[in-house]
Amino acid sequence: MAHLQTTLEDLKQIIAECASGKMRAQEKLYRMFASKMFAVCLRYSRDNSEAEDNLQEGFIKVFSSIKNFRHEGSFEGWVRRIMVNVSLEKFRKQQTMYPVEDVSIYENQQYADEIMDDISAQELLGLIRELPPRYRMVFNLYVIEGMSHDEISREMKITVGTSKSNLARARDILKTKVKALYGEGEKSNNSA
Amino acid sequence: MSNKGNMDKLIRDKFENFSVEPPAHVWTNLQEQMAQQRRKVRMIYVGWISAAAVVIFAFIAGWLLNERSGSVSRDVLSRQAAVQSPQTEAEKASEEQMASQKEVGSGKANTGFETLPETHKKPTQALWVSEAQVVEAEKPSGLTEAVERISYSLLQSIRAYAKVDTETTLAERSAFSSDAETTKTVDEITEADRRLMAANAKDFSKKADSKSGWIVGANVSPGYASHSASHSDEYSRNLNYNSSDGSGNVGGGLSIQYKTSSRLRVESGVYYAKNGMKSGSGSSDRLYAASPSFDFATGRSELVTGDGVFSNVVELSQGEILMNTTAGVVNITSTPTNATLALANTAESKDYASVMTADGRFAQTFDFVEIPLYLRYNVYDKKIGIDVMGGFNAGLVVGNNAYIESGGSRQRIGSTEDISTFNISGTVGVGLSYAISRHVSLAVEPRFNYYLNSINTNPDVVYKPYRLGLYTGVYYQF
Repeated sequence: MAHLQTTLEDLKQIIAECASGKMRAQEKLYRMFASKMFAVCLRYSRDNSEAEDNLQEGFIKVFSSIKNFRHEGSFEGWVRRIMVNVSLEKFRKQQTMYPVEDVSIYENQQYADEIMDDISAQELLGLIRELPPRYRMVFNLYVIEGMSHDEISREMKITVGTSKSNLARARDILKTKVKALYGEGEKSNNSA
Repeated sequence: MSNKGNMDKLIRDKFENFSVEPPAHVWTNLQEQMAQQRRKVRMIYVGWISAAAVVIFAFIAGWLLNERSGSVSRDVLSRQAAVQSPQTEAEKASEEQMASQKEVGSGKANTGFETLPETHKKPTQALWVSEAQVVEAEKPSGLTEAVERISYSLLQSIRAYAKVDTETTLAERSAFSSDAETTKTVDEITEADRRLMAANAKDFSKKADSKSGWIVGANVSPGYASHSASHSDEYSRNLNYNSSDGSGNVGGGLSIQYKTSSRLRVESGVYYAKNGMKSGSGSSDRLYAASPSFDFATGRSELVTGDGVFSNVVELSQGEILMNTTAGVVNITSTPTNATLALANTAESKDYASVMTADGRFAQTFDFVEIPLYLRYNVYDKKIGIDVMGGFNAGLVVGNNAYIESGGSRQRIGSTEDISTFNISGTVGVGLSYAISRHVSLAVEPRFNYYLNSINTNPDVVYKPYRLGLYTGVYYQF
């Protein structure tokens, strides 16, 4: 606990120095959070290049608005929210560019959730990134960020119904793909 | 539902502490982007601070000039107030006549050389002082208008600059966002490609930076220097030769400019300029104009009508020889070779004045070191460029000499009194440049430089030098 306290104090100090524009502090902060935030950006993007762009843009925003951070919640959560917002902004700008993909082949392919037990985060990340952009976005926001369908519909400018159906389809696609990787899982009728 | 929640939790847990090390070039690019942002902010600050400095400079100049004109008015008013005692017209007329006769012998107006008691002189002063007041009161208002006009045009150019800067920023932003959109479509890129892209991005940002930067230059400026001058009535009575001639000379200097945007530059540097006058060598423009009111009692009166002779009324006082000239009272500390001091009298009154006569011509020069603060706007920017520029100079008088020139030799005889070391002048110009290479260019620029204040602090003398110069030089852009 004592160690945690010191770390928090250190972080506060680094945040304060970043707020006054010190480059060394900015580098420290980047080194502390870059790998975790890169994983977040990777989940929201189709390829590494886009994830790197988002990570860079996200950190620019972190540094430019860090003076507004009030220490009222988790700093990591605040940084993470900025990364998600950058991805969301990109999505909103490019929404019209994404073709509507035919995902009907995944319908009614229902498997037990336990199928997820064996897969590693790295593999799961690969599968999430293969999802059609809108499904990927809804899945990430709902499952990992814990947002409600109402919030998602506002952020992505889609209806609640679309958000729900996209999430269901994303789940189905993932489970189908996991099954393809790890063999036949237990069929389930109540996982729709 | 619970199963779905279970699946979500499983996935969330998997990503709880999941992290992937980003490639090193992300941090490099991030640093570069932040440095660019800082440069842009700094550039905007520099632009605004420079513009503010020019405006402050203009206001200080206006304030100094107004203060000076105010002090002259106060001086005149206080002297007027001292002669409030009632007098008849006849008394006034007779006293004026007496005073004017004495004033002929006075070399330095209003500076204590008058020999009559104060009570006799004051009514006379009141008359010419009232006239002087009209002259003095009109001049500063014209000057204030000029300063206001310049300040207004400066504000206009600052507005134009702000607009240009905003447009540039907006254009850059839209370019950036469209870049981001197009890169989205790139699928898989190798590490080598990424490095190449990062290097290209760096090059691109360097090119973008070339909008701002430094330019240094050196130039020479052959030009024509002259002056505008006016004098109080009493001073004029003892000034036989009022030169309005200009002279050709060569100045020059070093220029340093900072480009705050592709069009606007703030310029400073250091320049040397010369100003002065000479009595002519012909019989018509000798320093001594052979006023009919003078009649030489003794000495070399025959020389008065000859060519190449300097002869003028002087005041002898406490070991000093003082003489009124166009630019002010010259204190002759070294009498010219073969000079003759003689008494002359006026035809009407028989009062005597000292006259100094010498072979040669009288010359008076002022050397200025000027530190400019100019704004320069680029109207046309191709291989041939056109600039308009304007601003102010702090003009420091570093040389103040009076000479007698005779037969190719020159003798320094003294200097002009009451010359202010620090002066302010305004400059406007139009420049034509030719780019020899990406970094080097040649420029020819006619500039007009006018001193906004009288460089002589004597309230009886207003002397404002001006100069039209052709600034020709070479410039290097970093």
